[in-house]
Amino acid sequence: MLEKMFYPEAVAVIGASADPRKLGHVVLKNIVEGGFKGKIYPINPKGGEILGLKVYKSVLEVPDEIDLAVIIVPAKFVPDVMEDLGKKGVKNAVIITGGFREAGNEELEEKVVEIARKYGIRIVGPNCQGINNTHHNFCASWPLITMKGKIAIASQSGTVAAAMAEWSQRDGIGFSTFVSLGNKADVDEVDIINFFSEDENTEVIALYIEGVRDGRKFMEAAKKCKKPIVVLKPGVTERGAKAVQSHTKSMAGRNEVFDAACKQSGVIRAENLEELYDFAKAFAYLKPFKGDRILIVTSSGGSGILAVDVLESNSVKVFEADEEIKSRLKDIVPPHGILDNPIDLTGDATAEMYLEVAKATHDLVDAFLLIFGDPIENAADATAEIVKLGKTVVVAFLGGGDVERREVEKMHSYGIPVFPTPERAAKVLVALRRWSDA
Amino acid sequence: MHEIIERALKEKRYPTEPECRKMLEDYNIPVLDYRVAKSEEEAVEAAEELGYPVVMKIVSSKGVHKSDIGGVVLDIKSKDELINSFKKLTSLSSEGVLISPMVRGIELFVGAFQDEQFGGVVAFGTGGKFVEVYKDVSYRITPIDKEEALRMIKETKVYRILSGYRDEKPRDIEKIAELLVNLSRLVEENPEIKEIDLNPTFSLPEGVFVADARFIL
Repeated sequence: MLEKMFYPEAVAVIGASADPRKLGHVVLKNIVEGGFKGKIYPINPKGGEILGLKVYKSVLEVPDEIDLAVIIVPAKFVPDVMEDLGKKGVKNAVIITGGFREAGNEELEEKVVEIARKYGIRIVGPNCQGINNTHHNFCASWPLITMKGKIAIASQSGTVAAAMAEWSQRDGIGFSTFVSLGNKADVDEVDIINFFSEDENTEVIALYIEGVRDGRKFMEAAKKCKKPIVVLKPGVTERGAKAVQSHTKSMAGRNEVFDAACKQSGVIRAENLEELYDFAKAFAYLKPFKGDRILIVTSSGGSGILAVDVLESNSVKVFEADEEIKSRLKDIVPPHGILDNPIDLTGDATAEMYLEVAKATHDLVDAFLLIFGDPIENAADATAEIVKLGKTVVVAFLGGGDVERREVEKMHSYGIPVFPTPERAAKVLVALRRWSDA
Repeated sequence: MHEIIERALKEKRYPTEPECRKMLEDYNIPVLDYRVAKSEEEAVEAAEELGYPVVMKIVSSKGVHKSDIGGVVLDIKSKDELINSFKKLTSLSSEGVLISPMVRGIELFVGAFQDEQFGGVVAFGTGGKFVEVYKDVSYRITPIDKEEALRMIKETKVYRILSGYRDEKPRDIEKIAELLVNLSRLVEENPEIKEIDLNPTFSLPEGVFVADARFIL
């Protein structure tokens, strides 16, 4: 149903502006510069031309069909714009404009929703930062990011979504679609789950939501969705819940109840923004695993311990290396290394040692945590070989300077996610392990 | 909707504890043995039948926290103590008293409520007066099956004690899970109940028994 919202062929930008400082300009420019291949109709009563495109005074003047309208006019004009869209037969609208429920104007928002219902128009927003579908070269948002990836990001906070998008770009993994949900007057988390569970370009759905409109429907959609869903829902403390009220007028609800709902419907709950990104990145590329045999291979003793503590305090037991493992590894691990779990290869570690360890033990373990804690050359190629052994491989890289930057970039280009600390990598392992139980 | 809830709603009051207990029994939720007494003679007879020591509580349709208003007397060991307590409690409420054996076991919290966004929710954890302080409670959205109930129990700290800890013998966890499944069914079929407090519920070596019940409509 929302196909044309996220994959439009013809889009109108209502409130398009020639003034580069205005959002009405920025959004139009990003659609143009993002390489959108469909038709673009800037709308502004002043008419004229912007960025070489003919400006129409109203959508009613546009001769062709329009799939989606992006609205950036002041709030008080939005009802009239919606009426025009209805008459024109436009079925999808992204309302970027703020000044509705979040500003105390519930009535205005309800009026807009009422008009939308009358004409069967679906709305993303209002009070949002737009949408960006990289696989459709369609950035009706800001900043302009075009790197294609597998993560669908939907968020009630524009900044949270933008930060996630930027991190994914910096990591070279990109995202599939970015949706800023704003006040969620119409399209909500349930629509997002239902749509992106079927979207061929999306492997994982990352949500930042401040409230759930219909708890039972949310659970139903999540249970039906075969792709991993990672959710960050703030308002955990009493004070936080109050802040949610004034931000998007969502009902934060009881935290323990939402937690139960996530557990029962296989939703992975992130505790903070960092985890939302890390888990989304992990689930886009790594497979969840069963079993409790996680072998930690590290060049840094301290880093290994940091990982162990995170695993153990999250009820994931770290097994002790048995005689079988020890006998297989005694010729690989340097004499001053530690042959247990973690296996400490020490600062003398080479990428080849990691590969040798993995080759010798992969039939005895369920997952590897590789910690590169030094400038280890060829770590990326060795890791790619380890991945081929068929077990889940989570990588942390730190303290490796320029070599690290180079190797991490390479790993990301291979589709191997790398995490910057042993703790974050360990948390990812916990999430992957838990999801397979759900 | 259960007839007890229907009647309470019609009479614009909360179900009394004896009514709550009857309803729990209808859903195969085991409650600790009890008698209701309206007179001193009835109270004495009830205590003798159950055997001392006993617990005596007021019966009230106002949904009050009985212990907060001094409406619960624990560990009554003799007829004299019983008569004194009866006089004290009947001055607080004219609806009579409920008498039950005084037992000692692992105190559990079992509860349920209707959530605005998710509907029915059941809760399980460490019980007693300090339930809000320990906050050792796990939650599930109804309906739940036995497997989900077992997962829920295993999430709590009290599970370690129930599995056998120091002088505490291991308890029948399956029975607790069944209780939670039955409670989930009660919640699903009676959404008019806003809140259910079964605190404490005792885990004894011979089984699990609800020792106090309070429904808020």
